[in-house]
Amino acid sequence: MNPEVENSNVNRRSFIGQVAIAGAAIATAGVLSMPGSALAVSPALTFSQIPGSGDIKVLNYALALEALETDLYAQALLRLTNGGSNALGKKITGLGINPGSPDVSYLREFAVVERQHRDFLIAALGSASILKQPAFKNAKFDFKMETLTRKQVVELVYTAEKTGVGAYLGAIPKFETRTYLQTAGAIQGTEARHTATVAIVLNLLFHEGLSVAPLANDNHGIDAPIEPDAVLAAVSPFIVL
Amino acid sequence: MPDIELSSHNSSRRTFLTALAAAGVGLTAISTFAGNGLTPTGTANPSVGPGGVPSDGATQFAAIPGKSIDLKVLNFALTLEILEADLYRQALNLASGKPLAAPLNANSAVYTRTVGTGGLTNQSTDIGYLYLKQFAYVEAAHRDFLHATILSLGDTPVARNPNGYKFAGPVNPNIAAILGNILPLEETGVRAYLGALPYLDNLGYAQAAGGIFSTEARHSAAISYILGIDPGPAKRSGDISVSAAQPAQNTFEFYLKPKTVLQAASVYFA
Repeated sequence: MNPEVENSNVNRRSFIGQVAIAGAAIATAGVLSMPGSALAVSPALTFSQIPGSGDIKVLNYALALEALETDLYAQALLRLTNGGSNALGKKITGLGINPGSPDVSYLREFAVVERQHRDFLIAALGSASILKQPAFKNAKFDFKMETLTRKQVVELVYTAEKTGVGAYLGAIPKFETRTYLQTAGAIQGTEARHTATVAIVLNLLFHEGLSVAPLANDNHGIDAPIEPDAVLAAVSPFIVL
Repeated sequence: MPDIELSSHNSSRRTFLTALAAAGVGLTAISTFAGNGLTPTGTANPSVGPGGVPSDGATQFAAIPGKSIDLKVLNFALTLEILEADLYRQALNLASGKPLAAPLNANSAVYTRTVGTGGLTNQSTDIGYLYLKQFAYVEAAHRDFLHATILSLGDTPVARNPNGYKFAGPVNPNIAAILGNILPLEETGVRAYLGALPYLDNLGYAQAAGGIFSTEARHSAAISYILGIDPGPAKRSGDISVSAAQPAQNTFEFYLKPKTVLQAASVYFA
């Protein structure tokens, strides 16, 4: 067995760039063709539109991403397993993947975690939650999941988790106080674990040669921050308001 | 097998300095936000002062030099990265049939596995050895980065322990055992960074420290995968939760206070 070695240039910037500029493709290890939703919010959301100020704004930004990830996992599992409908009423035909396979089993595990992150932030924010504001309370997510192959589904999850890692780092300087820094870090670290795990799953199932973490010659082996507006530009094609 | 480009660990400070430049955010307000369900470390902890910064920094970092609390935190991180990089170097030597004292070779291609699987599948063994090799260079890069950063900030980086470092006990020469001895280092690193994070006054430093923290979390998950362990985070003895409202295992990373980390790390000092 030849473990495929990393392509350290599978970076988020290419993901961000592709999605934000072309609105059409996500680059992961290979190129995942990923058309955004025809219903997506346009122009892309910006950090200035996230409700609240100071620390609450940052937490609402985190909640927006956790809500997206939670729904992504739910739809991804529908697609990989027995199918169903998403919140927009779109029918997603299941691919019938064996539930014991590593993609389905890890996605099941991580789906629960993302939901817990989301629900934790909802409870924490109370009436200040972005999901309770008129402009966002009907938000839904359209990943065109019904069109994706098994590999594309797992790549999309990987890209979302990896973007989450950089998104939390990019949001740190937006905090006014240190009050929630450690809690945000505690969530970000789990996203990093998910990213590494899903990278291994992709390598094993599809021989992708993804790095599980930045290599020494990639930003000193340190995860890089992604600016909130860049993250929002990347995810807006999936957001339906 | 394609060549692994692992060898570059120059300490350009560009990214870090960029991060600092972006961090013009001061401590402007205490959150108006307490008591609504989010229970950060601070709320229940009387040692946390205004702005969520723990007030016991002088105690926690008493053993660590530095001109300011930020530099103490950076030197604390460097203390751990020197240790981790050295033990990875030894582990890679052990797995590759080289003398334990041999320095990390600038060319990663000189390393090939000479030890057995220790019961892992051949596939897991190959991937595990690859990670051992990659992460050895990453930890060295973290060390060099922190060293250069502290110098650039006009302070003195901590030096390596004159007597070097050792694993807590004998390590059997096989990949399962070697990774099994590396994993606690990574997991402790995760907890150390998360515990130190709120002491940083400068949010740009927090951003950089957070970026190192999450790579240690990735390493922990990857090594766990190879060893057939859930990627975590899993609570260990002494771990502290970030929130009383923590719903379950696997949802939030745990942390340790800096003094606890230094005490735990002392077993690795020769």
